[in-house]
Amino acid sequence: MPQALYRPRLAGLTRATISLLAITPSLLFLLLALALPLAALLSQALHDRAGHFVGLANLRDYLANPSLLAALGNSLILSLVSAGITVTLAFLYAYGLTRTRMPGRGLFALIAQLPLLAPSLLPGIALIYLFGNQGILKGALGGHSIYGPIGIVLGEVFWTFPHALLILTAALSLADARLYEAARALKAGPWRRFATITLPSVRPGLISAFVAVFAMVITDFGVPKVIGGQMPLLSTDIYRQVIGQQNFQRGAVVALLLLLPALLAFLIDRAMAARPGAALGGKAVALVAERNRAVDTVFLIFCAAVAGCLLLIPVTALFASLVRLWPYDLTLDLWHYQFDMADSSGWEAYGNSVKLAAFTALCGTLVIFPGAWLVVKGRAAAAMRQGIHALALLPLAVPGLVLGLGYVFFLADPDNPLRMLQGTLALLVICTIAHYYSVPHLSAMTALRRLDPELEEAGRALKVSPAVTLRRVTLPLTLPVVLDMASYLFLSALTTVSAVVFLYDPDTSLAALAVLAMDDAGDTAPAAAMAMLIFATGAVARIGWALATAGLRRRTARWQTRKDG
Amino acid sequence: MIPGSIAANTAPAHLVLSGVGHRFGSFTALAGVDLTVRRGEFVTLLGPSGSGKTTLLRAIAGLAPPTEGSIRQDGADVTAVPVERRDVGIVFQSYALFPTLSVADNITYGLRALSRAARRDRLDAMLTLIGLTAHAGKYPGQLSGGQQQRVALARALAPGPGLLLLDEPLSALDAEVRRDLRGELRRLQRQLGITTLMVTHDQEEALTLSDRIMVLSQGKVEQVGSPVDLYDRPASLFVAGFIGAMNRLPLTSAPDGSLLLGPWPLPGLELGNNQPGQAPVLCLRPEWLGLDDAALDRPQIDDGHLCLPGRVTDSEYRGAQIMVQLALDAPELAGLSLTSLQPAWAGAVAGGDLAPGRRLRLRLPLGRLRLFADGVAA
Repeated sequence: MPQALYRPRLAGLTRATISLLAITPSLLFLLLALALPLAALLSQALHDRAGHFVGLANLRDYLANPSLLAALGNSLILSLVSAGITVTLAFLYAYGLTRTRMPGRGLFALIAQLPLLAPSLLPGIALIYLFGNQGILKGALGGHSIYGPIGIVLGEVFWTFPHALLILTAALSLADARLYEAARALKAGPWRRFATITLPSVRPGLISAFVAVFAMVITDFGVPKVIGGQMPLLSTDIYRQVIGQQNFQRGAVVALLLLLPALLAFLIDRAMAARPGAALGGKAVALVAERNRAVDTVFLIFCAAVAGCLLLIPVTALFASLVRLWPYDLTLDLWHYQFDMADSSGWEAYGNSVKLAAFTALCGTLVIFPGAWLVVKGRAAAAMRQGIHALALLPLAVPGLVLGLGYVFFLADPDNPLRMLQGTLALLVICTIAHYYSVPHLSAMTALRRLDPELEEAGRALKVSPAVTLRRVTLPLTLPVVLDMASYLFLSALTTVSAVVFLYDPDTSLAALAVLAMDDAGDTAPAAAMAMLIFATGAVARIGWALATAGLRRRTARWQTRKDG
Repeated sequence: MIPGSIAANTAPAHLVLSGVGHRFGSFTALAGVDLTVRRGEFVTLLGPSGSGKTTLLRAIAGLAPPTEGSIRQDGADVTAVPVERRDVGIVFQSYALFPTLSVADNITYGLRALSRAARRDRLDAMLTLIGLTAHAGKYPGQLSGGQQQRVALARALAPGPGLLLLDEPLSALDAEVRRDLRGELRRLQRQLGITTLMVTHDQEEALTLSDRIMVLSQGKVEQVGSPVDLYDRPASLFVAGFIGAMNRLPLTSAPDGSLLLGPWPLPGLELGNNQPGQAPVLCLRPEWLGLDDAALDRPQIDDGHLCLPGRVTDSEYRGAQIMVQLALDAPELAGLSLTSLQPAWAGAVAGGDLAPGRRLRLRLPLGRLRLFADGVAA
């Protein structure tokens, strides 16, 4: 055996150094881009306009105002109702996808992804065309106005549906066929099997989906901004206080109030996740749905109806963007796509959005994956790793509006050297990565945790540096997840409105913000056109990304082809 | 017709399989299985993975009806009857206990038809039977593997099924727990007198638990018989090799029907209907291969034994036994290795040590030799 093979390659020193070198950027990023802006927001809420410390006086003022308090109640009720409807629909839809043999399951799964491609402004605009004062289906509302709670709930259900579906599909697809066989052998009927096996196994998923949708709705301001009418809500209130009345202190107070329910929801979800659940044993046998004509037909009808509604929204928006002047001039052309007529920076904003999405995907993946890798596989600096993990989960509970406002206060400090970033695209990239940090972090961690820790130990035993094991073993094994992280960040950046609404400059406006501005100015058709442009870009990017990485995925997945056994 | 010894059990037939087979598309997982199981009998389906034993168990359970043949239970044709209307209790591989239900709720899961009081009594009886009365309120995740296995057994037995099906019931356990539970399983089965069918790939489990064993290989039945039948009189080369250790001597057959081992004609052995290409193989269990010091240069028959000249190549001390590796004294047979298992208490063979190279006479009792042609007993 040649001696060179036994030379320990820069052992000891390398490991600690690599850990420190890699851990510092992730931690630094989370501190600067997340923790400090939130601290700035908190501090702002405790000061008056002149900068004097006033404690909770701002909060007292706010709570003394009954109309503002009504916003809190409205937000809570609408979020609960929306979450209830979305989770119910998504559960049945997910059940159809995973537990029946109805035809077209792949197509239904694809259609359900459509809302992810649109900013939350799109359903609002489409609903106006459908049910608004000149809407095609106005009669269906029986005299009620779409502007207000009905429109908000409909729009939010559309916008949050894919998120709930994702969680519930995952929960329902993990099933142990042997449990169902055991129940049948013990003479349990279909309802009893559902109540004693299916329901307990998806309960954490149901709670998780409900909490996720609730937090999304209460913090969203795209849908209520477009279709909320005069209904006061927390999210639109922040926007009005800050942008409309330049009352930053009150905005900070509302932001803190908005943080509470989201934080509470987040804590409930964590507590549920920590409970010992019905984990699947290693010997579990995957459940294959059985053909059942009656059940399959019922679910086919249901899923087709839901998918039809999901399709109706973008189709309506597309139609709205192509019609010259609804309902008087029904000529179809690209008139409204000449954004220079409505908003002089239309196409430039679109270009900015694509740039923002690309940079967010690239830089975000480069920051988030190493952080997740260190949290799971790192062995040095335990406290720092804990810190990263805690901070990485924080954005789940922090609404975009709150984060954006935090940035405003953070950068308003004249002593802050990061002030130079104000109004730049770089700032928007940083803010967007921080805003969407949690989901890719969690999925990277899940993928990394699934890897046998003995792989790393084998690498160490063979005297190979952890970086080599990461590159040669860990990365190829988790590549599909890494590619999905990038895709998620791209789409999120393309459609985001909330965090960046306080941060852009005339030069760095974004497509989704242009939708907001045009809709605000009454240019609904160009707003629809821009929303459809985002939608189409997201779709093309998604498909293009899948095709472009197919070869890479296949190559690194070769190890998965098994010898038949 | 039922091969093997069933003299001890003259109870009526409980389960009758005729021509049971299962195809998945063009793949035949199981073909032509005939079996009659008598009431109270413990029958094991033994085979390596892919032999079709689990497919057969699932057919008998009503979980996956066979594509061919029929299954009769208690005289009624149940071939197409789904599991929920069969009279069976099933213990699944790694148990499939309901993780969100307590031990008590798991055991009473199949007792919905009973009144509350009757259910309570049945639960108490079951908990006593498996000795887990103190654990009724726990969840499956809080139990050890052996305890989970007992709960799974109690859950299957609680409704009082006529037929108990066990799918690799002990495979997920540590060796020691497995030995304990094996004894307990046998005791329970005898006590309740319940007809039992078990699937396993573990030959030791099959030999110690079963009244009869059905050996399967590649979807076909190799042999059905009592443990003693299978061990002493394997019907095929597969069974001979699958159960216990076996010395194999590949032979060649001369045109006149006599048999040759390498260069040596073997006196006293011949094939009934001699045909070319039958690949005859002579088999003997290691514990029957005797050794002594008598000088010998060619095979001969002596005192009911086929004697062969050989020498020691290696030996291994195992406490109660000594395992001796041997080669035959002919250059043409250099690649052939035989094993002899000698009781250590008898002293090493004829006083001498077993150093490699020592020349010995190998004594193969004619009554214990098994001759196979084309893989089946000749």
